[in-house]
Formats: sequence, C-alpha cells, structure tokens
Amino acid sequence: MGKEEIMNDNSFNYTLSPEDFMVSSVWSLPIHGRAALGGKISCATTIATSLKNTVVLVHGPIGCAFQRRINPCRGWNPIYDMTCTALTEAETVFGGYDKLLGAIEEVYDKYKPELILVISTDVSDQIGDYMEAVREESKVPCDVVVSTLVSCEQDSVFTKRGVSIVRNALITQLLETVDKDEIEEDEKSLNITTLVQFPDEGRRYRELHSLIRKMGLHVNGFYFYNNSVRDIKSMPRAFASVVHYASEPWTEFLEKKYGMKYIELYPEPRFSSIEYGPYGFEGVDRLLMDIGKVYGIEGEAEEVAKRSRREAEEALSSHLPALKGKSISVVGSYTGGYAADLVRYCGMKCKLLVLKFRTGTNFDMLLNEAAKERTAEMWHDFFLKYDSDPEILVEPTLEQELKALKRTKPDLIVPPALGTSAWWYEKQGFKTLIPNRLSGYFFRLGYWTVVDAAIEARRALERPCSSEPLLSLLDQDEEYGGLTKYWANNARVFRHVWYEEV
Amino acid sequence: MRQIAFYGKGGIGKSTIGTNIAAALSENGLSVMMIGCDPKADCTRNLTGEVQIPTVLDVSRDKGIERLGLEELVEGKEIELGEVIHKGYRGIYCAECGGPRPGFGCAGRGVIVAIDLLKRLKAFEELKPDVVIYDVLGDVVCGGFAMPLRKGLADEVYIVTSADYLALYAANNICRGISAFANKGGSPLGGIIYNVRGMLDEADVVYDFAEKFGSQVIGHIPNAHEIAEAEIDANTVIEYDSNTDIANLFRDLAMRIYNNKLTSAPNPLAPEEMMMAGKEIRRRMKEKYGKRGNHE
Amino acid sequence: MAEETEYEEQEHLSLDPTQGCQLIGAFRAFHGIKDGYVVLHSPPGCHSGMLLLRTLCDNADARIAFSGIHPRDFIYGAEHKALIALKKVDETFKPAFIALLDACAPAIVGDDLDAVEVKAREDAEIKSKILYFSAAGFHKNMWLGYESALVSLVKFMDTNESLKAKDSVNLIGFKDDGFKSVADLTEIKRLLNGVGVKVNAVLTADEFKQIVAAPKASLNIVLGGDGVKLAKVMNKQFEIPYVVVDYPYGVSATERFLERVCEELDKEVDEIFLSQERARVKESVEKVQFYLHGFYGLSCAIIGDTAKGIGLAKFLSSELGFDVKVLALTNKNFWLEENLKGISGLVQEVLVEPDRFEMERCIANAGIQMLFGSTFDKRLANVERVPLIRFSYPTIDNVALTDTPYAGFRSIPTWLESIVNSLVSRYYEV
Repeated sequence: MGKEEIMNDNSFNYTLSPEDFMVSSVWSLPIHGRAALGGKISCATTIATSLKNTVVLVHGPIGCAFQRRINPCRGWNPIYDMTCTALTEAETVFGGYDKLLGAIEEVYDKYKPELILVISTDVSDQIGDYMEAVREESKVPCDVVVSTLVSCEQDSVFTKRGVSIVRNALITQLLETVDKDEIEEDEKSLNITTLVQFPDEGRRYRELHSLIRKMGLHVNGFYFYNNSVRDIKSMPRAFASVVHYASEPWTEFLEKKYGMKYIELYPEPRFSSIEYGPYGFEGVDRLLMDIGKVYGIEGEAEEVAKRSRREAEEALSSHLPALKGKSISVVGSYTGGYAADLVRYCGMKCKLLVLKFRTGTNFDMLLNEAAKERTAEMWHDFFLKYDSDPEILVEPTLEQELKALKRTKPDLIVPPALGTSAWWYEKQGFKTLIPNRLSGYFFRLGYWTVVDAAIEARRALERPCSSEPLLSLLDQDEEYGGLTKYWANNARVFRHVWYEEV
Repeated sequence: MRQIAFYGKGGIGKSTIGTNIAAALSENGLSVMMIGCDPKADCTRNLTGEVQIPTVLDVSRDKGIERLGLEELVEGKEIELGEVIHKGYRGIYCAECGGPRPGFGCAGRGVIVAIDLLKRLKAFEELKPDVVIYDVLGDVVCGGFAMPLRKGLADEVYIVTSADYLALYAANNICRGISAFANKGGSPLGGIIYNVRGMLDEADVVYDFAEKFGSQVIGHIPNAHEIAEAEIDANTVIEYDSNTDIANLFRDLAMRIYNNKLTSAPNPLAPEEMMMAGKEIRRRMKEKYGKRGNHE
Repeated sequence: MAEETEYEEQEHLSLDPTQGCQLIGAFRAFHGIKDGYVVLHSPPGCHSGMLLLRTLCDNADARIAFSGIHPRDFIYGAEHKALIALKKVDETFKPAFIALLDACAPAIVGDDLDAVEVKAREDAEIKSKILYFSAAGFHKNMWLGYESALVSLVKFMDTNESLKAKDSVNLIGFKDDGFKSVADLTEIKRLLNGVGVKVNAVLTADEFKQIVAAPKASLNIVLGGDGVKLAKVMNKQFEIPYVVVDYPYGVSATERFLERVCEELDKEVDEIFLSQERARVKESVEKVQFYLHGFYGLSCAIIGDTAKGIGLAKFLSSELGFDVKVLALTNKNFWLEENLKGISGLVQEVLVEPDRFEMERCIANAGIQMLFGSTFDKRLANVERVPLIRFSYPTIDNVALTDTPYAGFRSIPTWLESIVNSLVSRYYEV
C-alpha cells in the first residue's frame, strides 16, 4: 500500500500480507543477536532505504557496499543503489577525504538525487577523515547528509544506535538551515516516528492514523517511511511528534529549535510493569490521552478512546466464550505483548510461565541479574493481578520445559514473537498460538491488536496441531530452543566472543 | 565559550604551558576545562597532582562491559560526567582522553572517540566552561589527532616551539594540517608560543617563522628553574611559586591568548624553504658552539 | 594470457561496484573446505554480513565465526581476541582447518595476526590446522582475494602425495556458494567418471584432507579460469599440468570439457557415453521444440563473473540462438583475455567490472527480453519488465535443493525449464 493511501485511509483493518511472512522469515534467521549481530551500517541503510530519491554513499572499501546490500532486516530483498568511495590501501594511509568529495559529485552527476546520505565505515572512522566538512565543501545542488557512526562504549545495546545516529543526522542536518519563522506551523498536525523499517511498514500504523484523524488531528508525516527531503524539512510544521523515547537527540533538537512537543510511546518510568507501553486497551487509552493533553483536546481524545475501545471490545466479546477460563502457558522474556492481552482482556489463566531471555537473541548476556529478577517479579505481579498464579521456569532446557508442560497441561501455548519453536510445542501435542500470524504486533498501535490476538488464540485452539511437522526431523538444542545443535553452537561461539570475553 | 588547542613537537612543553595558562585563567575568575589528548594521559598532571585520573576511554570501556538493567536497555549504561571529568587545581575541569599502551591499537582513534563521547555527554553545555584547552600529542599525525581542529571545536590553535630545527620542522608540519582544516571551516592558527628549550635561544628565528606562516609570536617563555621544580611536584608554577616572574609571565600570556583576535590560515613553508631555514639554524649553532664536522 | 602483475594493483574502482572486497573472495575460497571453519577477526558488521550472505544460500552450512571486536577494541587493539575465537571454534566444532581472516579495522589498527597464528599452532589444545590470511577489504577486490586464498592453501599440500594417481584430476575454481553448485558438482563428477576420470580434490568444495592430497592428481582442471594462479603454482611445485576449460554450460561446452580433459590425460573419449548423453538431451529439446523455435533470436543480457558469464554467453548464443546484447562481467580473472577471445563476435557489448549504474543503463539501452544474473539484478529485471534467470553470485532469493544442475548434459532440461517457464508462466494482458 502506498503512503498516500495510508494517509487517506480511515479504516483499521490489518490483513496479513505475504510480506508479513517474509518479515517473520527474516526474523527467524539467527543473526539478530543469536549467532551474529547486524552492524551499524546495516541499521543506517535500513533508514536510508525509507527515503525517497536518496542515494547512499558508503565511505569505505567496495566490500562494504557489496555486502551491505543485503540487510538483516530485509533478507533477500537487496538494497539497490549502494554507492561507495571504494577506499583502498592508499586512502588508509593518506586519508580518503578527497575521494569522498569526488564521489559525491559523481553520485550527483549520475543519479541526480534529492539527497546523498554519506555513511561512514570502520575504515573511514579509523583513518579519521573529517567527513562532516564535505557538507560545505561539496558544491552539488542537492542535500548532503553525513552520518558518522563513531562509537565506543555501549555498543552491545541493540543495533538501535545505528538507527538513532542516522535519524539524528538526517533531521538535524536537513533542518539546520530551516528557521522557525520560515515554517508555517499547523497546530492540528502530528508526526509519527516509526520504529523499524520493514517492507510496507506504513500499514502497521493505519489504526493509529485513523484514531488520530477521529480526534480532529492529522498526520503531518511518518518518519521514516518513504519520505522525501521536503517531507523531512516540513517536520517542524507539526505541533508535536509521537516518538519512542524523548531521549533521542533529534527530539531535543526539534523541541529547542521549533518548540515542538512530543508524546513518548515509552514514557518514564519505563518497565514499571508488564502492562507498560502503548499496548493493550489501557496502553492505547494512555497514548491517546497523552496526545489529547498536548493538543489541548482531552475531551475529544477521551471520546475517541472510549468509542474506539468500545468498538474493539464489542468485536472482542464474540471471541471471549471460546477463550475465557482456558489455561495458557506463556513463554516470554521482558515484555508482555499479546500474551498479556490474552490474560488481561480474554480471561485466560496462566498456569506456566517460561522465561527465556535467550529466545531470539542472547539477551540474557546483556541483562544483569537484577533485571532478570525484576522481570520475573513483574510477570508474577501481573498474573496475580489477573487471578493467575503460574509456576515459573527461568531459562529451562527443553526437557525441563516439556516436563512442566506435561504437569500443568495448558490448553494453549503462547510463544514469543521472536521464537521459532511453535512447531515444537505442536509436535508435543500442545495447541499453540502461531506468533508469525501476529507479525508486527509490537509495531502496530491500536485497540484492534487485542482483537487480533484473541482471534489468533481462538483459531489456535480450534485448529488441529500440526502433528508431524517436517521441522521435527531436526535435532533441537536443549538450551537454545528453536535452533538445531549446529546453530546453537554457532550461537554459543558468538556469545563467548561477543559477551563473555570482552 | 572559548576553545583553544596546543600543538607542538613531543616534549616541547605543551602540557606545561597549557596547565599554567589554565591555572592563570582560573585565577582570573574564568571557568576552565583542560582536555588531554595524549594516550599517556599525563597532560593534566600539573593540575591534578600525582593522582592519575581515570581516562574517558577507560571509563567508557568499563561501562561497555557491564550488563544492563531494564531501563538501561533503552540508552545503554549511562556515564556520568563526574566519572570522566575531574576537578583539579582551583576547580579546573580536567579530562584525559587516554588510549592504548604503546605499540598497540590506535591512539588517534581514541581521541576521536573520547571527544565524541564528551560531546554526547554534553560536557560543555553542562559544565559551561569559559575556556576549554586541548593539549594534543606531538604532531597532527593522523585524522585522530586533528580532531580538535574540526569545526565547532577549537576556535584557534597555538603551536609551541623552540628555536631548534626539529621543533620548527614539526611546527611547519602542524601548520600544514591546520591550513587544510582551516579551509574546511576548522580552526585557524592563533599564534606561536616560543618556549626556550634545547641548544639555541634565538627568538628572531621563531619570529621569522611566525611571519612566514602569516602569524604572530604570542608568547615567549624563557628557561626557568621554577618550571622544572614545579613539574617534579606535579604542579604549575602558578601554584608552586605564585609570585615569581615566570608565573607572571604565564599570567600575561594567558590573558593575551584569551583576548587574542588575530588568527589566520597559516602558510606552511615549502621543503626548500625549510631546508634554507635549517641551514641558517646550523650556521648559528656553529657560531655559538664552534665548528665541528665537515659541513659549512 | 594476461600477466598477473597487471591486476595486482587495484585499478579504478567503481562507484557502485559489482563485486565485493577480497575478504568476501577469500571467505568463498576457504568456506569451500567442508570440514573447515572461517574465523573473522572483525567487528560484528562484517561477520553478520558474511553469515547472512552464506545463510541465505544455505541454511544448514554457514561455518563462519568472528572474534567479537567491539568498537573500543579499535583503540586498544584486539589480537588476543583472535586467539580466543580460534580456541573456541576449535573446541566447539573440532574442524580440520581454520582460516583466520582479518577485516579492515584490525588491519588498520595493526593487530599482529601472524603472531596469533604462531601462538595458535604452538597451543597444544588447538588441534585444527590454522592459516592466517590477510584479508582486509581495502587491500584487494573479491576475485584477487579468491585467487590468493586458493594459493595460500598450497603450503598445506603434501609433497609426499606427489606420486600421481592415474586419470585423477583436481577441479579448481569451483565455488560451493554458487546457485545450483551442489547439483553442478555432482554432474561434473558424474561426467568425469563417465569417461573414466576420477576427481581427486575440488578446490574448494572438499574436505581438508583432499586439499592436502591435491598433489596426487595428474591434471588440474581450471573452470573458466578462476584459480589459474593456483594451477600455475601447483604446476611449478608439483609438476601437475593444468587445462583451462569453459564452465560446462550446454552441450558443446560439456563435450569440449570432456575432450580437453581426456586429451590432456592421453585418453580416448568414451563415445558411447557421449552419445547416450546426447540422446537424453535430445528428448528434452524435443519436448519444448516449438518454444525453442519461438524464442530463437531472443535478446538477453548476462550479468555474472568471468568464469560463468562467458560460458553462459557461449551456450545461449550458440545453442539456443539467443542474441546476447550485453555481457557484464562482474569481476575479472587471470584468464580474462583468453576468455574474451572465445566470445569475439558472439556478444554485442562486453562490460568488464562495470559500475552498476552504467551497466544498468547500458542494458536498458540495449533492449532485452530476458536477463541472466543474480539477486542483485532483481530491480533491473523489474524495471525492464523481463524475466530474471538467476545463475550468478550472489543468488540468495532462490533456493536450489533439487538435483537439477546448470552444468553438464543434465543441465539442458534445467535451463530449458527455467527459460521456457519464465516466459510462458507470465501473466499477459490481452
């Protein structure tokens, strides 16, 4: 679906597309923190490909441009037009600044883009080229943004840093010359920043967009989703932005320079409970009320929240008889998500909580013990609040988990979004919610995510288990669920060199 | 906020001059920050005493190794300014970039990363120093040691030199670096500080160089035993022997630098000019020490 | 033949290159050692990139680990981490061989991996054979990295194995991550067996012990010219003659391939075998004869490396009657000039290591109805609204599990299926 359609669409239906399954296939690759971790350039190019008429210029050797065409978030859908300065031995000694200047001109001559996004690599970072200076020195008649990915500490925290650095470079550099008085501010408009750039990302924001329109506001732009330079330069037209965390430097920049307000999706205090974040009915209520407060339309916000929630609750009610009182086993890590929705709104009772910090990533190595304990406590408090008192297993082996499952006999297993083990539970004879079918839950915002979770849970209870999944031919690793022993060993080596031997 | 950088050949007295100027400016009621850009991490020693302060890179490395709490998942482990910036004599903020042990790693990269981190920690906005002094190792040997020359950092650079040929040779090389950066919006040259060292005390040689560079000699520090004594105590002369002539000379130089408005993109000397200058220095040395060897 | 020294220095490199750096070339060479492992001394980006490239080709076989260089290690140096990684990989996977490759950043920092290699050899706990190969991407491009990596294996080759086994050959220049490479190798081995020739070692798609025993072969077969540098070194060191043959796409190339090999081995070609094979090919052709009539003269462009691209151009032009408008060779090899002589007049325009932008413009201007290339050419095919037949590296958006090769006699049904189906199955507005 094109951006224009999303901008003009008033509906909230979210239908899975083949792309959603491509996304879950990409995420099932054990490279997102398990056996490898995407570098900062990958993150930067992910952002870059969300921009229109933009050419990426990698200031590095040819391998960087060749290899980074393949992006861990896009898999087999390469990034085209990846240019590079083709740094060689000579530049590592004499510097690559002049080559960069020349390449910028060549990129402009060939592609005539609106924007050239220059991205540094380890090589250019290491030789210390003063890359920012090309912004003034290059005389091409298009915008040039330079994003240097210098970083030393805290590099193991996600790959978010790459995303954040490029986003910051784009916004602050493109708006550097745009003064506040040049901007015609629109008091009813709002920016929405997207979290991860998946193919067709905009579809995930349809419901939120619809809610915003119902409140009498309109969306100035989604950032970054198929944006032109002009789109970015008109960011300050909006009165406020919905952001993930206010702590990103560009949020502060927009606030200082244009007085732009912001609404945080994940406001402080963070991780206060499992119900934290913009998920579930209350999460969305809170988000709408926060938006209402900023725009001084609390009344409209409350009204829209009530009405929309009621509509979603009505839709949900038809599924409740099939779910109420049914027991589940939640396999989770540090967030709640759809599993929490099933307990909060659908009356399902949790019998067994399996905490797996190693699912999808080697997250257990990143978190300290206190964080893990607090997560377990948050889950426990959450379940008690909703009349469940499950047995809790932390990082069990498959054998231990199976024993507990056989003992507790849940009606339904709710595995985590990043897990690749739904088939394993089905093979053991347990009905299982297929997380792939809730693809993008965490990136969708709205009341209907709860309904979708209920529909999927109901369908999972109704449909027969896949009793002989081909995947069961593969030997599963006891420690790393969802991985064969071979891949688990790769994950162990990765864990050893990246986390343990620092 | 005024930011200045000192460059010069190794051992020429950059840290001595830098710390004394910091101390003098501080006496004048200015808030001063001194950033040492040398992997040996001893630039601010005269201000902090014998105690080695933790370097920016060491702190940041240690934090990167720690495991995270839930909130820290968002931002990573926070580094407090107080962990990397320490107060020295008269409350002068001192930071040492630090770097690898000799023979390993990449010290230039260390400077880039450390200054980048200080910027991200908003060290300048938070502490609001009136003056920031960068003391940079040796020569502009690579992109890393040119970091303070980049736009938005040092407003101007001062080169410390003696009248020795090799010191002037290094100064000329530094001018080449400054000149390249000044044309890209980077720091211009504020002047030359003549620090008497080595075999020759010939001020006019240095003045002549400064003129050829298109700059000025902004200070002249003579040989003084008080400086050497203070250094042994890890002290500035301003603190060690406050009422001496040499301390006053530093005070005077500090204010001249602080009030200096004269800057330029320097014109480094061509190799032939440098060679000619070398011959002149040799001639003077022969005059002073008598003829030895076979050269004219 | 071109002198090797001509290519040792990197020439003008493209803005948007069609090939990677030497790290990728070296990785491709070493990863072909089936019981070996590759350890990258690199930050996570290079590692995840290579792992991803490999995993998308084959979900079950991606033998690549890294030393976990954090950005802070660029300041302090991290050669000790390379040793840790070698130990861990050795202990976990017990490979016969580990290639230690360094990426750009540690090479600039100056990590001393020669010393690490020595330490690893002296470490009694490490059982694998260790080879350090300097692979920083800024040194060389992909094909030069590949050539040098193959040559670096010579030091493991056992000179005692120089007692030649009769009618035994090594295949050089075979890459195990090419599209349909498994099926291709099976077919090439079958063909050689069919004429009474045994494959001794495949460089590289073989176990380490076979690489060690490579000097036993009486002939080295260089596929399309990739790896000819190794063939020359082995010729000098072990007196093994070599023959450079086209990658055996199509009937003629396959026949020529077998004839050349037999000629070098002083053997008669088994005509019965060949005629049986030809008969099978005929059956396939007969089944799609009217399509082939119809597609005769179809314009196409080929984007692929020198070794495979030239072979394919010959096949499409001389056997299917296609009009090859553009042949874009994504990377050279040391046999390039000889290879180009062989297609003189067959192809309208040949581009060698072109800039991708210029290559795409040239192909668009040529006007084509079919494109042969890799995953990277998907957009071009879409823009030109023509089918894309994947055959070159990297093909990561098609899986190849069936025994349907693109090489040898058995390749004919595969090619015919791919080509005919790609046109016939399209949706057309009437």
